[in-house]
Amino acid sequence: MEKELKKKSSSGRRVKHLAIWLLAIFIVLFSVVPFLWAVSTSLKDEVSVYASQPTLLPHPVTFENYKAVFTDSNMMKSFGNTIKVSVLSTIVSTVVAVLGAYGFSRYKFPGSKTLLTSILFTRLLPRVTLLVPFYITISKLHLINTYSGLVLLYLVVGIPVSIWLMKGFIDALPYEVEEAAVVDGCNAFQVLIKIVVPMVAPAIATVAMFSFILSWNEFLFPLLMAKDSAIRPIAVSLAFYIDESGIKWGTLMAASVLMSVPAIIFFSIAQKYIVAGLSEGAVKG
Amino acid sequence: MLFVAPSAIAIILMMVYPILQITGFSFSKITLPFFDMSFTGLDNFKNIFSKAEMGTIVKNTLIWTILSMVLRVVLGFAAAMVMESKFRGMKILRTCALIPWVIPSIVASNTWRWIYSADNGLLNTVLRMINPDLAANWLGSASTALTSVIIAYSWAGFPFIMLMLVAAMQGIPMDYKEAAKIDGANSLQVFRYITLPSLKQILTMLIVLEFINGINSFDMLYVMTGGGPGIASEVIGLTIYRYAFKNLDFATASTISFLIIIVMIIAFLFYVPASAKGRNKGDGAKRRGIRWKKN
Repeated sequence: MEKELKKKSSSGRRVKHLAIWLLAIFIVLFSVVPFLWAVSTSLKDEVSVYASQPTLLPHPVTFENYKAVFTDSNMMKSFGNTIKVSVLSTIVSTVVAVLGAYGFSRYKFPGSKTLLTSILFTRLLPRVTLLVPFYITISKLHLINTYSGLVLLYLVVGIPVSIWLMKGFIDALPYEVEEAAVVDGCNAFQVLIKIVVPMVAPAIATVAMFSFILSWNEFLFPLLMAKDSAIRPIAVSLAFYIDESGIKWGTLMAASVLMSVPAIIFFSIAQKYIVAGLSEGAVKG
Repeated sequence: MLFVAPSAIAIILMMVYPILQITGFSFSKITLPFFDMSFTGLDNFKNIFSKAEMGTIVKNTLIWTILSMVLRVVLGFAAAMVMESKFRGMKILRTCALIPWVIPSIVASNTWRWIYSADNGLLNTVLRMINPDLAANWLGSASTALTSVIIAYSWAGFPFIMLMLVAAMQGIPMDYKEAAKIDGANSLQVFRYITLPSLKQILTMLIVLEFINGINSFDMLYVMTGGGPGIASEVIGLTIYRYAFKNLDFATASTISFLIIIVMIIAFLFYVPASAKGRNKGDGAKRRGIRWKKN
């Protein structure tokens, strides 16, 4: 049907297609040009970064900015901190989300609905309003300037969406399989690990990706809770990247591009899972 | 029951308890360093409403929230209309268009700070080529600082709207559109009577989300202008931060937070009846998003 239509396409149709193409390319340019400008700046030498007539493309191309980032021990430390916190909080968030979603999906207990709704409501509560109590709670738990404090905060930020996302997938699973497993002598925990987890693997990947990007990009909480440069993540370091000679834009852009790479790569890989996960969940539901 | 425990504890510890604490703090005087509270009635509220700067901050917050919400939704919707076509290569273009949303907010902030830079910034360089008078200190002058960050912020957020709407548009069964076309509807009518009504629910959800995101904003403004010059681009989130962590005035910061929470709850009460019609289909926003593709 589609093909037939395409064959018949008149010149008016072709003009429309062309227009859509041009618009699409325009949107993509709008999206990528600022970032490409950052990439271009990161590849320029200092003279051309500050030239009064800057060129769009770096000429000559130099990697000295990237070298400067890699030899800056503070910067490298910050990158290391971000990696540690992100991996840690991804693991914790994903485990908590799977457990929570499974519990909410399969067991009804008094107050479960209220709890579930209040989890959703946290998504609607602006978190800037909770800065003070977050800070006080974390400091009362003696978790200021610790990875655990950050992981706990990231968990709270990400968990509402993660639980609802996971729950959607688990709800869609046929309950009979689990019943059969119970009849065969599995306990609830074994059912979860051996039956449910493999079936919702794409959903778990999606949730893990979501948690990872969230903690990788997070700025506000580490700004408050990670004052010590020993645990300060790269996001905070980049916000305060300035030295006696002012801001070195070339180096700053190089570090920014480096910081974006994992987020972009991770997203591109997991995007497939999101689409697969969403459509699969839809078919089964 | 045990499965739910970790998430329940996290939520109670980090959501329920904080709201109670905010409420307590708003009616108290706080003594540091142990955050001892003594009840003072409405003193904090009187104090806030007597501050002259609050007018500017509320105005900034409203401009910021509404303008960036409109820009994001309009841009995202327009982009979705174009990018939902199933041409070859469109998928790759769509992924490229997601870049602003995927990169960390701090990277977006620094990139735009560099573009807006008064001396060597890309924007001023381009403008000087057209007319030297057009160049300006975008982030440094009170009249342009807020708008400049709004543009950067909308740039960073519109792809998410696009992504959600493309998924929603592709979930609309082709039969509907074909049937409408057979009945003689033109493209505009198909859009008006098929596409738009099918998107109503997700659009409402996205608008609510963007509204909250707007109130929640911190990163870009903090990095790009720091709320300045003066408080020319300061929105409520930065005010809370300034009072609590610069002035160490936790009572005022909590009182502002308390007021926002009250406003949000009132807004939420209005939103719930408005969205109640669509609610019987699914339990919640995310769930709807998933089920939606099935239809």
